[in-house]
Amino acid sequence: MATRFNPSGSVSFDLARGRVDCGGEQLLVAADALSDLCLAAGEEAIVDFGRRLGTSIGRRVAARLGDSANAASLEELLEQLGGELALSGLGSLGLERWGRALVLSFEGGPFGPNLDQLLGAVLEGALQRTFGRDCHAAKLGRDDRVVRFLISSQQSAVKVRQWIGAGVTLGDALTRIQNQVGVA
Amino acid sequence: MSAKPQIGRLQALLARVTLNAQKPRSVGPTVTVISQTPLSPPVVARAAAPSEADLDVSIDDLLGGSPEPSPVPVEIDVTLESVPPSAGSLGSPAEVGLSLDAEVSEVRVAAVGSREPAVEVTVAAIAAEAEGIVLGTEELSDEDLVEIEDAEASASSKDDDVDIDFDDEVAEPPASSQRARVASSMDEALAAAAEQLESEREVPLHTPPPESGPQEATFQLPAGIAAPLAPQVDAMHGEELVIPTRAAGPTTEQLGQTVDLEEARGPTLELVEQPAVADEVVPAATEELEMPLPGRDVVGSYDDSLRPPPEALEDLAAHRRRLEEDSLPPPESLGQLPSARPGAMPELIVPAAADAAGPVLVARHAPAGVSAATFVSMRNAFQPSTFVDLLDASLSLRGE
Repeated sequence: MATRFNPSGSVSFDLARGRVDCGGEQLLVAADALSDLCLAAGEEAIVDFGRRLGTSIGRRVAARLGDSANAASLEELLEQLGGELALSGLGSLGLERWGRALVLSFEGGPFGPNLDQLLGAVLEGALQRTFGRDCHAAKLGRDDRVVRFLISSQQSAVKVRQWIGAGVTLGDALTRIQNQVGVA
Repeated sequence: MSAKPQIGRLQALLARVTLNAQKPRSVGPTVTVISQTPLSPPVVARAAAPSEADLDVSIDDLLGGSPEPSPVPVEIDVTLESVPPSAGSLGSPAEVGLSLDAEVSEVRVAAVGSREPAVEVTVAAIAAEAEGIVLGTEELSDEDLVEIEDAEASASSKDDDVDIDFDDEVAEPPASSQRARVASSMDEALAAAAEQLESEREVPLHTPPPESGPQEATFQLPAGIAAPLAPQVDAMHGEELVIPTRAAGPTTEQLGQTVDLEEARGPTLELVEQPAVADEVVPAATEELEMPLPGRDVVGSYDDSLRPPPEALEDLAAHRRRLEEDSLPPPESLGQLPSARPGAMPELIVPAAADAAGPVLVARHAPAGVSAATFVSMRNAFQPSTFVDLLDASLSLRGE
């Protein structure tokens, strides 16, 4: 039985001092203003900004899981990581397993398709901080409200981005990435 | 003046008038006097000299010229040659007096107060008669002549005093009178009489009014349909009248006297049930050219005295031997296993005999209690127990 995410006490508003505390000082900003800022900053800045956000989220997830982080099941990690992402207002996290490929998805995020790269960077930072592994998120596709990312190595992520850019569908890309399995 | 000389003078006057009318018209002054006799003052042309100059004989001379004024004005209509009135050529009374011979159609002699002959011209008569009078002809009806003659006759009887009563003409304006044209010759008179007779015989074109009475319908029946002939009543007289009836049956009056007859009396009839007839096969009637089929008793039987053909003797002998060896099971096809036969056990299968008459079957014992099919999976499904396992597997993907 997976441990349910308990958000109680996660966010504290100190109205006397005018602060928001969520494992550190936080700032509530408008999503469209942040989106404009990120688009104006550039791709590299977006990736750095997203990794910073994901690192803080991963730290909180690791704190919740404690020593059992490596033994956490899929449901447990989805519950805790998804809870922290939802608390930050980045959307609802989903997990899919396509054979040996791990696919994480966001649904209902505040940003449009122009900032999907920001969400991928958040996932990279969170997983790297929680499990201590170098992870890369390659965008597989996006429909109306759901955007999917393949969590893989850097080499695989580059290949998948090329395939998707060339018009390969999500299923074909995931099949092709699993045809030759190399044990890391 | 006696009557005959007056008539002669009148005829001479008439002849001259006719002669003048036949002459071509000159461009002389025309006088058109429009007059409404009872309302407007009449245009009176006092013809003193001109009348006598143009007309050789004055009207007073014609009328006898009584010395005493007569109480009733004498009016004499003398229709002269006239032309259609023109509005712009109205002349003065003097001009009128100068051309009396041309335009004056009515001359009135007023003998009131003086013996001076007065000629009064009513222009309305001129305008009215100008429409219906043919140019160049002088119209004097016979009635006028007769009246004049009568007046002259009466006047002659009264010491040659002219006393002509023209009340009728006074009462009836001369403009509206349509007097008959005087024929100049006998042929013309005959032609006029014939024309008048024809005009009287002509059927008026007007539709007769409905109150003129019932009229005979003049429609025509279409072809093939004829109106029923009227019965010949005269032929029926003295014969018995036969009324044709539509049917030969009784009429309604005859049915009223029908007498109901009683039912027929006689022995009662009872239906006797027919005994059940045994089912007999009645051979159907066959035609002459159709051969009847053999009956049931004939089917499957043959004559015992018949001998089989010599080439079938061997087959018959083999058949008889098989009948004697009826304890042997029949041969089985290769497609039917002995185990599939109900009640048959593999042990009952007899090994192939050395008899050359039947095939030798060798059956294999079926394996009992062993599953022949085994499935081997080609790849074991990846079932990660932890998230880290899945993460590591996903990070290990290298692709093509």
